[in-house]
Amino acid sequence: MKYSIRFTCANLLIALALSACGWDGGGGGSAAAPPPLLPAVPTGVSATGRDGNNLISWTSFSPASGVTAYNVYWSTTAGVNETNGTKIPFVKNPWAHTGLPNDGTAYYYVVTAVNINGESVVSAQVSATPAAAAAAVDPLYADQWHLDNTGILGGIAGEDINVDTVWATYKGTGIRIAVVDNGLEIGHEDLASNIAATGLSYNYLNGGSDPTEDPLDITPGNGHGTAVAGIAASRDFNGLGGRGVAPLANMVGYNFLQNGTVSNEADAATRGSPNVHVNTNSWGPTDGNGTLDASSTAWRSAITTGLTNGRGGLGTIYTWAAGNGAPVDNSNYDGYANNRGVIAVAAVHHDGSKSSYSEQGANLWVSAPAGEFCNTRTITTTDRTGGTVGFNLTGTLGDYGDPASAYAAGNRNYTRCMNGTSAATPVVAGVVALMLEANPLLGWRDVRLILAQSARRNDTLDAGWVTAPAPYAEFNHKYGFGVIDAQAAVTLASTWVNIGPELTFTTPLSSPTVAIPDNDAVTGVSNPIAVADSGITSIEFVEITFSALDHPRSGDLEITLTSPTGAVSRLAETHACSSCTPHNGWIFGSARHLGEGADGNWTVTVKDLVTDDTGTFQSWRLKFYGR
Amino acid sequence: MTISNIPVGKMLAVLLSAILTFALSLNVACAADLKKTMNKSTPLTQTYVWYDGEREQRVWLNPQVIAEFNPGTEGASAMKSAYAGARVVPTKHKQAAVRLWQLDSTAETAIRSLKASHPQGSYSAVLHDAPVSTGRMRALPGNVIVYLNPQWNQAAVSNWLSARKLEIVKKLEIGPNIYVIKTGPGLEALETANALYRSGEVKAAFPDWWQEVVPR
Repeated sequence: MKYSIRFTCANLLIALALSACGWDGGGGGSAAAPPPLLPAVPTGVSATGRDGNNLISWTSFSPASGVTAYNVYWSTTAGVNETNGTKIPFVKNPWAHTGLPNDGTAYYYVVTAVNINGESVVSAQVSATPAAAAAAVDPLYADQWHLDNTGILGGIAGEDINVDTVWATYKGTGIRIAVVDNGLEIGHEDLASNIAATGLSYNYLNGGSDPTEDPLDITPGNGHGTAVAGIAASRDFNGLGGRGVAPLANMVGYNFLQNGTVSNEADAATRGSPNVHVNTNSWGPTDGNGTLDASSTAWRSAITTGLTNGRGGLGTIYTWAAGNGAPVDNSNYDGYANNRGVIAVAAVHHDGSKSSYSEQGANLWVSAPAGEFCNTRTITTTDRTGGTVGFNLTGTLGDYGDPASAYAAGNRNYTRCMNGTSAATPVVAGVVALMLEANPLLGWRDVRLILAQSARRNDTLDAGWVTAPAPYAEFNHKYGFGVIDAQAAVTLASTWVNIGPELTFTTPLSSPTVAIPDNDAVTGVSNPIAVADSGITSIEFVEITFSALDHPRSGDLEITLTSPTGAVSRLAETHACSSCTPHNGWIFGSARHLGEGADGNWTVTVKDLVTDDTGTFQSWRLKFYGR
Repeated sequence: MTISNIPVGKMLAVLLSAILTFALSLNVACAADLKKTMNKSTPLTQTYVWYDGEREQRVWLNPQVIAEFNPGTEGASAMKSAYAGARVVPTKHKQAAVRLWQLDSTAETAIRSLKASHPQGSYSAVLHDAPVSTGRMRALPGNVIVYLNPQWNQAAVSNWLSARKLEIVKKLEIGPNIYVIKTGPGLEALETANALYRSGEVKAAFPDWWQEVVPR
């Protein structure tokens, strides 16, 4: 029997009453199927007032119960039910009603359960009133070396982002960060106060507004987005966990990584963009295989739209994980991280050296702390609540809550084991939030230039540092313009005068169509393009479109771009790859030429350093962005 | 996932990196051997094309893996009853919206069979960006993204859709006149996208691919 009636409490009661009178709801037959069963009423419902939010929890039904979702109805008037309350569908247990003022208003809640037959009767009503937390130190702050590196455990004092002095003036108030990831636990005790108002986050699995990772998914790492969020903007001085870089910024979560379609990735890049200042992305194609992984046309359209229309036309700031596939991968093999609209972020260790996994690339913009692996030093941040989900599971050794470790005093709502360029990226997102609070009128290009100008040289003895035109100091293919310096960036942002409109110049396609000598490390083949009258005297980014379509193994090729001043972008290095595909109009990105002029002779040189596969340098062209 | 607090993906990357660094440091010729070592994935032969904007792209069909969208317990039961040997393909990152199945049978046959036995299920072939099974995966949950003439007004858009009996799923706010058009899952979406692009009536048309993306 197929029911078109929505089984609410009222019509269920009517049906039961009629049934008692001998009505079977069907055509009068005596053997009709029983009416479908609605879920039982949720029990154990409680509400707790917290700082800027209320946490609602209840006793979950088992997976075998057939319950597929929960709804919450709320009101500021007692007697809330499914008719008069504001419905929040598809919420996880527990659920945080976020973005509330601490003004003494009481909120009333009921909960329903949903199965394939409909929605249960509402639960008993509960209420809570948000209230500001008493100020208290953050117990894990001392472990957050990326914020204040005192040199413990092998680190170098001062190898941090120099942010503590910024907090006296700016903490990210009024700035919104979108965390695009596999989820975000909006009810987490150290995050909920900074989560934007209910309804602004998004769940790509069910269209609801709760992006909390599935509480039944015990896959380690399903707390990735929650960990990322904590690095960017967990609340400070609440007596809980550590601190985010921008501890009073607010956040939304978009769990795109649970449903990775092209339309969803485009949506996640632009959702809420009038009010999203920073869109942070600690994801990408699979790392470590050496392949060229393109971004989608729709994603590129979305980024262009965000840059053009986001923040009232000032442009959304996109921060992006450069990739963890070193040394096989180069960040320039990733069509997301090498896009000119994103700030590609590399990762450094607590002594300022490159994290072993962090990818090099001419596209890198800045670096930020992330550490190496947990048995050395990584990032302390929020984790999924409890010990059954997230990174820090019950029994995990060496993390908070491990009774045999130095971290026994912590609990498993936090982890000290977050790493990767995933961890470095929200650090930059947090710093950008501080910059935008200091100067909300900065355009997206201004933000990039400030970061490049204010970053500091790390790993000072590394031979890869090369001079960049003033006012930019140096560039390194491992680090971009260096490690982000929050105080320097905010200081510069505070007095920054926005640059003028962006100019672009695209060269004609050059088609040398010359064979690339096989296994030749000496000369390779080169081809020049002469640029004249471009109008660009200060380059901000260069795109290099390159084709060697008949060479089956892109990994055999070393490709460099040399500017008129002799500055070299290393676009590709010879590397192994498990599924190499040819360069078919592949677009490399380069930050290396920031501040140079575009006019003059540019040269691409291609070498094939491996025997066997051969091919032809077919074509290339340049597109300059600058002013 | 972690082993001794080390994320497995990163640990593998480091191990691989160490091996590669060593190999590359011996001499460059070693890279030729190395790439053969790395290329132990299954070669794929059956290709399809699609159009990423104006650029033709090739993808390779994995003959023994299919994607099930919005997977649930019923879908798993249906799969197991139809193909007892079916097993879930482990991926570095699990996306809740999709489950990948490795089959002994050919994917094409399996999808046809599953459509009959479990009609509420949603299935697609799995394709790769490279001619080997380790290439980045894609699948077709249904629907096509079309870039229509940006100068068209709403009436022109509606007329075009109506004439082709196409239905809008949603408008993407990533530029003028960019829509998600409804199609069924699987190769139907690819064929519809290609037909629209080749018609010359649209600026771009490509499937609303599901893609392999991972947290870093």
